Amino acid sequence: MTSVDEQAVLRPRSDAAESQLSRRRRQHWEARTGVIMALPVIIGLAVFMIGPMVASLVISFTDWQIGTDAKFVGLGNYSFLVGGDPLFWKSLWVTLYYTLCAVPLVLVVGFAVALLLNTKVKGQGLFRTAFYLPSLVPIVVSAVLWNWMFNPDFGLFNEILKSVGLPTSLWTFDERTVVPSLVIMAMWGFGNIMVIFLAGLQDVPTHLYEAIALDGGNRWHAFRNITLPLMTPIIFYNLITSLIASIQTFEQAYVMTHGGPNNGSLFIVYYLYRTAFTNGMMGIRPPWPGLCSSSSASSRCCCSGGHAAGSTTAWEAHDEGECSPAAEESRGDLRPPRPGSHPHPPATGVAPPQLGDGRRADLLEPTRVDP
Amino acid sequence: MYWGSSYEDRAVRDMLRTYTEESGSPTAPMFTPGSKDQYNTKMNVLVAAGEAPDVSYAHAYMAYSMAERGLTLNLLPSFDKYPQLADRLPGTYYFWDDDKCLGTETGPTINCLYYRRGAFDEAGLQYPPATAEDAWSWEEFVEHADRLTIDRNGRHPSEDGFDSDGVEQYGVSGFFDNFSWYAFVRSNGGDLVNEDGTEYTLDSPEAIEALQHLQDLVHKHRVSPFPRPGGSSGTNTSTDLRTRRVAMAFDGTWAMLNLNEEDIDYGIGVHPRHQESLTVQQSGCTLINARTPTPDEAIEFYLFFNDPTNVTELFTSGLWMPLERKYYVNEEDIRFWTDNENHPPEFRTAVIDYIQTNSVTTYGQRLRNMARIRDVLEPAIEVIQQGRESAEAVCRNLRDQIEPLLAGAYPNPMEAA
Repeated sequence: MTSVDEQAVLRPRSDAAESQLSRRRRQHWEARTGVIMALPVIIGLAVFMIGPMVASLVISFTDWQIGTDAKFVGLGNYSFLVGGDPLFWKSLWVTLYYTLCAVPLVLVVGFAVALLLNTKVKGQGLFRTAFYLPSLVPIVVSAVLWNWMFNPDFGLFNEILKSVGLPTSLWTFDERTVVPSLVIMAMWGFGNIMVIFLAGLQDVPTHLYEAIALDGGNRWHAFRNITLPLMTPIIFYNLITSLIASIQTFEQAYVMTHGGPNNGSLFIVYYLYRTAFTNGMMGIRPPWPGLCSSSSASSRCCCSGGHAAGSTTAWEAHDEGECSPAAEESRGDLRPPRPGSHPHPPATGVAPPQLGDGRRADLLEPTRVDP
Repeated sequence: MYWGSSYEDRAVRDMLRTYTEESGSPTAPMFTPGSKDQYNTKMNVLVAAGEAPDVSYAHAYMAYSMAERGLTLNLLPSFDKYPQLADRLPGTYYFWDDDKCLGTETGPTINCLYYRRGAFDEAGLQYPPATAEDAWSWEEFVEHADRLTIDRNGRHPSEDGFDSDGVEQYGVSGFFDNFSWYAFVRSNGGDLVNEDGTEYTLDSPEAIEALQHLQDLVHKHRVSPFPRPGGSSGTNTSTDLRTRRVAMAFDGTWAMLNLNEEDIDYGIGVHPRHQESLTVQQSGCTLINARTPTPDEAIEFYLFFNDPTNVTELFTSGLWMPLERKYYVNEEDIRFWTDNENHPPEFRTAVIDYIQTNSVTTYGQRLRNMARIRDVLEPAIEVIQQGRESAEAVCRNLRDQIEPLLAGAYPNPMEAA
């Protein structure tokens, strides 16, 4: 039995321990609840993002056409992309060109309009709604709409240009103007970025502007020394999200141009989609011009010639592992040999295997033995 | 699984319902509105998931690719059991080897020269010829296109003061779309490749001349609107004719559906001739999944589906044309699908006779490795369209890009027979 005094001494300790225990329990509960609450997102991230990313990485090391068995080809696909696929470089350039044009323009226009809409003018709400509305239009709808407006013969834009005596353009019908046209279209949807800028501008403390006004500063001084520095995080955020969105551009090519004309709008994501999902070629199938692989189904390999976009790829058949300089030198023409002749007598190997009807065996689809 | 317009979807669903009622076999329609990337993507995903449909449409290169991966049923062994399968138009067959037939076209089509009658009446011109024997020469065709191209001041391109920025009506369009350019190359004695598909030949003088003629229609004669890049969305034949923007347009026979539905007063002519008057026959095919658990039922459904008596509306509307030869040679069978207001009188000579005597199948239906070949061929054709490079320069440059991809041609023993 404890005395009353002892109880008086122990009680606070017991209360403290209980309180600590309770706090721990609460923390534990909070942590558990937090994990449970976050679980759907974590599962979603793992299943729909990380899983496919890992799977894509694994697939990238294989030769796999949908419906066939995958074969490990090491870095063959990467080697082909870098050294043998002119469309890959073209699509990279198109995406870079579009990004370099669209992102700065959309940021500048979005920021400028946000500055204007941040001033107290009559009909402010109406203007904000009007500028934001285009970003609510689904991309497919706006793509179809803009395609009509871009039509060089019957479109709205050329009609306007003609009516004021200006020269017309071929817009999306010309490989030289297709990307600039799509940039103009992208600028139409600056509403989202503008709203974020506007929210940022409204957080800039007004007393700073009052202070600079008292010091005799004008609007430029206020913009240069207050607005711009305080908006830097917002500008940076918009820059990063715009860059990501721009690099992922897909719908315009998918709906409007199909990557044309002359691959002038072949964005990298659209090219990836077309190769993997439309053509079903998850991995390329060696041997293939420009690819050096040791897992060729026909035990032959091809060599990369470091081709520039649009240049002739070079190929010569030779035995597996014979990617020698001599073999490289002997390469010249990829054409299949015609009956009775070979365009380039093979110095280091044999002619591409040819079937009886003139087909080149190495370019044929693999025949699957159905289970 | 199939693609098409909502109209085609409705007709196919009706046909499936009828088939289920008559046979007792359940059917489940899988419709994809888009016929291009979307459809192929869906098909590839279903194949990857092991859930490919029993019977499906497929584009030529997709069908061959699936066949070579062992994913399609070989129908050749069934030809004896089902004679209807063996008596179709020869150019409609898809063989991926001499003794391996993956099916036939879903419905054969050819490219035609559509024209708005009103445009010819207003210009005081005779309608385009509807028989191969009477086909216009290329010069006559260009002359008519010139007379039908009118600027806002009523001038034609060959007249002084013609305002090419203010054209009210163009003479012709569509000659680069849907393999149309290939018909002109073939009609001039050229081709994309040699017969066995191993050598590039589009840089022959005949092919270059035909393609240059097409480029000239846009950039020299100025009788055509700027051709749209392949595959891009935009105007179509019915819109062009209905809005009087164009007087003549090359397009496939499937365009008749929209022309009829929009009540356009149109006629059909044959292609102008270079060395001869030729058109292209083309269509995706219908195939059967090799892994179907019920192959016999699938073949019976395949035949039911291709029988015009079961999907009459699709044929009488002008959208489809029959596969069996009897529908092109027997008077009664011809009347069954053409004796209606949707088929103009000249359809008999300009399409039914023309497809049998003056048509060639497209290279897309013939060549191996088409998925890769079209990646370089279609952009090159777009360069010709744009007019900054001559057809000769483009065709010569194309040799080095296409030749490495040539892997031969698919056989068609039915055509050889």
